[in-house]
Formats: sequence, structure tokens, C-alpha cells
Amino acid sequence: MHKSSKTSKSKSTSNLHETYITPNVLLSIRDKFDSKGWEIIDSYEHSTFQRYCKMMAQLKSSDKQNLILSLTDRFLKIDQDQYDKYLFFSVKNLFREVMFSKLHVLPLIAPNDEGKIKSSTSVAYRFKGDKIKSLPAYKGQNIKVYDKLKDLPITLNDGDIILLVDDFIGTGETAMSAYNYLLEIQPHINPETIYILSLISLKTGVDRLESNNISLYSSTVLHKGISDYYNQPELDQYIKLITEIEAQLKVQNKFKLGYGQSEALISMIRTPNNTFPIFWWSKKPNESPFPRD
Amino acid sequence: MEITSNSFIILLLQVIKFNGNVESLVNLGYNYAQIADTLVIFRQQSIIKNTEEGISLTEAGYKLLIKLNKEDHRSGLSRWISPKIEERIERIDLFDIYLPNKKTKLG
Repeated sequence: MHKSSKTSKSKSTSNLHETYITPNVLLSIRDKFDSKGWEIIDSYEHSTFQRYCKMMAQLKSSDKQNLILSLTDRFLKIDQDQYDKYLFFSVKNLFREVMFSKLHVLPLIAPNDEGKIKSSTSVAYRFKGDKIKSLPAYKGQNIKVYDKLKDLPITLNDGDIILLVDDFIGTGETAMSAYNYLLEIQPHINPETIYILSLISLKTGVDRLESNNISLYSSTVLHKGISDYYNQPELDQYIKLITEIEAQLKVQNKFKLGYGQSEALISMIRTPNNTFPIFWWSKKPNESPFPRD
Repeated sequence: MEITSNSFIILLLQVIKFNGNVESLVNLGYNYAQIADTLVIFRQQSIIKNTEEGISLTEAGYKLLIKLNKEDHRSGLSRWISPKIEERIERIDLFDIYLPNKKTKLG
């Protein structure tokens, strides 16, 4: 057994229990990673496994560690190479259910995020590839992809539909904002011809869009990680524990329980801020398992 | 001070015995993945077993600990607990002044 490249450092006695993790918890983490098919690289000091263990060690209490292990059971990690699988599932459903002759694809970007590098652009770009055209549900329709909402032609023909695409819909705030902006700059567009498509959505976002009569196609809909899974008394107990964890991490108020109190358990190319901050929040680099920065 | 492979196994077995903190091994320079890999091997070789309270040493685990202790010439308390090597400081002369790293209650 070779020691890792990290050099041993002496710690002052008062720091003895700054971090705490038992062999039992460490083995549970290892088993969890195995069962979820997440990679464990023992030679790499900053691997997800190392960062996950570091995060768990900082929690110290076994109640908190057990809660995070249970949340991890339902945690969905989608790597870049899995994007097509989730995208095609959503696209297949759209192709089967919606009749159209031309598809105008646009990245879903809030007006104040225009010009920024966003994941929605990479999802839109995939519509330029031939994989989508080889799906059995594709019936030879014309597909046109645009960079910006402003690029959409002023006149659309009958049978044309507009598709706003993104990898993730959280609270639905961004989707609503992009949808309203599109109608604002192109007021002639029939709102019924606008569809939204994402790989993954939160139930909160789905409900919000549905209540505004906007059609959303998504391969997976996620529920709240604690509130939608536990009954009393566990519900209150777990919310209290996660709140304590977030206080310990000094999480900003707006991100507590995830942005919009979404309680999401998801990591994609970039972890959405709707995910519980314990999985991504960190003041220092490499100290959270799924960092955003 | 370098830790040998034997010392690593002894320390890990001791930590398992008392359901202690694996951070003592991390502080010596081993990473979590290496320690977890060893725990998996221990389980495969029935050196540890799962109980309701978590993992514990099996009879084979205790025998291994005794065997390694003998090989390492450990006796008495050191068979069950290991010194915190990472906490050791260099021996100083009787008349040298020692200043601790951190402030104490006394200032």
C-alpha cells in the first residue's frame, strides 16, 4: 500500500476532532459509490469520492452522515456522456405527441443571461446532429437551430413549432422568464406553438409551467428530496438536521434547502443550485463532492 | 516517521475495533479510497463483519491483529491502541522554551 502524495501534517490537539468518520461510514460510502456506478479513483486526491468523504468527515455526527447517505441513494448524477440518452427520451416523446412540419430550436436562456455560456446552448447544438434524425419517431421534419431568441424569424408558417431547450428545469423561473421574453420580442407568435424541453425537471418547475399552460417535455421529473419522501416525525427531524448542516456550512439564505427551497438531488455537467448545498457548497475548492465553481 | 504497511493494517484494525476515527490514518497520508479499499478486502477475507451496530472484527480479524502485533513486537496497551505519530514533536532540551501552536485558556 502506497501512501497518497499528500504530506502528513501535524495538527494541534484542539483540532483533533475537526473531522470524524468511522470505518463503518467509510465502507457505506464506498458501497454507495459502487451501487451507483460512481467512479472511485484512489490515486487522485481530488476525486469525487475523496471530496465526498471529506464532506462527510466534516459533518462528524452519525445522524447527519446517515441522512446524507440516504439522500445519496436518490441522488442522480448525469455525466456529459449520458446527456444524449436523457435528451433522446424527451425528444422521442415530443416527436410522438406533437405534429409539426418545422421545428425551431432555441436555447432556453433568461434575458439577462444572454451572451453567457449556458448549458442550454449545448443542448440546442445537439439538435444539429444526425442522431436526433435517426430516432424512429422522427418523420423527416425540418429542424432549424438558433443561438439567440432574437434570431427567430418574424414570420412562422402553419405547422411550425418553437422549442426552448435546456438540460434542467428547476423552479421554472428561468423557463417562464425566457418564455415571456420571447412573447415580448415576438408578439405575433402563438403561445400554443411554444414548447419547452429539458433532460431533467423538478416537480415544482413542472407545476409552475403547467399552471401557465406551457407544455414541457422532460425525461425525468424529480420530487423534493426530503419533503416529498418522508412522513412525520422523520420529516421534521430531517429538515432540522439538514438546516443544522447548512448553518454549519454558512450557506447563504437564498440557497438553503437548494435555490427556491427545491430540495433537489441532482448533479449534471454543472450541479444546479437547486440541489441541497451540502453536495456543492464550499468556501474552499475541492471540499464538496459536486462543486459548481 | 514513516508508517509501514503492517502498522497501517494494525492501526486500521484498532480503529475498527473501537469504531474510531479513520482520520488518524488520513492524517498519516493515506487517502479515503485507499482505506475504503482495504476495508473491502477485510470484508472479502472475513476479517470484519456487518452487525447491527456497524462493522466489527471477526475472530479472524482478532487473530490477524494479534499476529501482526507479535510481528511488530507490540505488547501491553500498544496491542490495542497506536501512538498518534502525527502528533509527535521533536524531543527538546530540558532548558529549551516550548511555545505551543495554539493559544490556550491561559493565553
